[in-house]
Amino acid sequence: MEILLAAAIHDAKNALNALGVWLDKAQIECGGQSAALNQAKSITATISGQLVELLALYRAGEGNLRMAVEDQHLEDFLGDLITELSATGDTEGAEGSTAAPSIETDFAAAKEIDAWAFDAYLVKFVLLDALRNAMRHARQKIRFSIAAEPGGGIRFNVADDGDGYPDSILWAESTAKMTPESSGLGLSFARVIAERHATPSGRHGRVELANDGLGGTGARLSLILP
Amino acid sequence: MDLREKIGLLIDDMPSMRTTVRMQLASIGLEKCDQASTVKEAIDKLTAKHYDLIVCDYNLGKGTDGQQFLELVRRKHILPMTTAFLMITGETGYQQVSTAAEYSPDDYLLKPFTADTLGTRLGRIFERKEALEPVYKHLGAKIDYTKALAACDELIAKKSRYQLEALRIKGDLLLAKGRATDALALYEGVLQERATPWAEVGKANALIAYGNPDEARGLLEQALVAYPNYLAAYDALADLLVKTDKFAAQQVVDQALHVASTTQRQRELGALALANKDFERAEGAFKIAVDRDRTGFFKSHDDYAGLTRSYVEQDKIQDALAAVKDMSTHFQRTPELAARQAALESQVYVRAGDEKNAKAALVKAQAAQKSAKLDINTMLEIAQACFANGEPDEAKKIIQDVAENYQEDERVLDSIRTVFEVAGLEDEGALLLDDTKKRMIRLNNEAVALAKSGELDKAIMMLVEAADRLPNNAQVAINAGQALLARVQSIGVDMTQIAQAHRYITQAIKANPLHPKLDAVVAFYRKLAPPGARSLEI
Repeated sequence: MEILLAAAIHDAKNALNALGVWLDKAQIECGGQSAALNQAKSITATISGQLVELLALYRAGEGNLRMAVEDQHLEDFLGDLITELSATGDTEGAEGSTAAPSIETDFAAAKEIDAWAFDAYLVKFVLLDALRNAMRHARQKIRFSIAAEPGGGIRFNVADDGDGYPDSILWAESTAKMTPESSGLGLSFARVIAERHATPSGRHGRVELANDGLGGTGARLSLILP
Repeated sequence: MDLREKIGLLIDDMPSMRTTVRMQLASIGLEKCDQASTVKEAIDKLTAKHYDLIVCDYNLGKGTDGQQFLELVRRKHILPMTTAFLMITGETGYQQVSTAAEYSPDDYLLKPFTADTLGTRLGRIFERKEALEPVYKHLGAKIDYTKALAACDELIAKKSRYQLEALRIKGDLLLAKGRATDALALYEGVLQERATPWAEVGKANALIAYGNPDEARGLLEQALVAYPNYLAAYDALADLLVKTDKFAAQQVVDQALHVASTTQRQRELGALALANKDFERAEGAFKIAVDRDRTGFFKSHDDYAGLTRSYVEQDKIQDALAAVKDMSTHFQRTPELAARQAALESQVYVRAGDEKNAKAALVKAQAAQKSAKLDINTMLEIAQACFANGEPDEAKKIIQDVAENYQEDERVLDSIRTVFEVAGLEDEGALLLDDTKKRMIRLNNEAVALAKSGELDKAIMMLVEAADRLPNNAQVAINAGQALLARVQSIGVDMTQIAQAHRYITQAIKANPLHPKLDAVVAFYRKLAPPGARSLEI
């Protein structure tokens, strides 16, 4: 099953990647910016991310999730993340909507902390998912920041100025429920990845959800890594 | 970063992937790029020409992979540290690359990727290589520890963006030099700031060097709970356990194999299973080691020897003979190979009760031994065959020679113990090793005593004779150099003796560049050598 599932997901991801290349080509052919194509690219990237998450969750369930915990230069890591987000059209705004929410970043602490050990590949998908989610719910602004966690650890914060999480998500801390807007996949994935980051002294990562984002009532997701 | 002046080598067995990546490289300015589709081709190209960058796919086909390739070229010093190495992997390959224990690429990139991403990553790698160049240039085939450490310290002191890399290298250098206290302080310093797997393993290795294996074991076991995929932790733990508890060591290697099944680990598992008399498991492991790599690039005579023994111990005579024969199709035909095959074959025939063929094969092996200089494992294989054929004196003669030459190499001494163990002569083996050790100590003591009583020339004669007979014994060569220099000091400069001292000290450096008494004798030489004498570099 593992092999079949992994192969199917692998194929689907490659197909999505090819689709992305065609969309890029279409964008050039139609002379630059097309909101519709941006939207299509963004959806492609979202599905691709979901496939990665699905496979990781399946493996975690089977006890086969492998993590590659290594030192990451935080500034490089965050730079790559932002590049990837804009390359997939996520920051361009959807057709019919007003301009896309703007992302305000505060990476000052990244320089200070310099490096941290985590699985860059998996954590990247957690944060991309959180950012895309914030993009959907924000009114105008998203704030993406990093900070040192008192007592050891680092904290990535993704906050928006939207309506905040519905109570059903906020109170269902351990079991991510299906809601009309979301399958709960992203949140389950984030929690598993956070939990699997651990230190020899027994500290684990975690995900924090709260409605104290921008303006004091927007949604905030924090990923804390030990 | 300007990539136009850089020269690249792209390694991938899939032509379509080569074309794609080649185009991506060209689009970011790297036009000068050679290509290779097999490991052999890549090694030929690397040997012939200098490259600034290697871009290598993880999957190279025929049971070989980029990680094996990287380990091979780094170990053989075909790939200088200043050359950048970027590994391209699929999702499954990346854990194996990113947690690879000893040799890791400068960076790895998950497929699919854009040309922009490729450009950003390459720019970063080259920037880092440039910043660390002052360190790397001392880390070639011959490592200049003092200068490399100084270069690391400089990067750390000026809080370079790459101070972390400098710290990691510094830790490795301190450990290699046996400076356990300094290494321990370094790793504890890092761990005080944050948890990170490399520093945990480094700390454990420092504790082992410090003589505290129990604490190291606990630390590694704890680290593996937090980082269950960190291969370096398994390797360090297995290395530690091998000395005290081979069953536990086998278990650890087995676990590591579940994370990443590399040929090197299969080989280790096979050796441990043999030692633990778990012959079925040994057969399985060696079989994977020899079968997986269909190019023959990464397997060794030892793998076939291990497989043969696993078969023999299970009385699978035909399989054993087939394995020995199979070696001819996978390796270059050298005297080394012929001797190894004959020695193995002889042992199989002994087990099968075929005395005539056993003897004939042994004679062939012994003939090869007389006509060519063979490596340690082949020599010991011949000794093993001698034991099996009921010629213990012949066996001991060979072993004696190896033991005297490699008196200070624990790995070789361990192999010797295994030979005796397999022959069922464990106690005799311990006795022989003990005698050899005492004899070498006596030789050195007698020489020192002679020197002290004024008979320096006699001491020199003794040591020079021994050093010529035992080219791999660093201690004897150092003493020979020392005695020659003492003569120069008391009687006056004699260029012939200075040159002789130079030769023996160089011989010692070659035998064991990390010998603790080396620094002193080199300093002595530098003090006495007149202008015009050859200089000495460690």
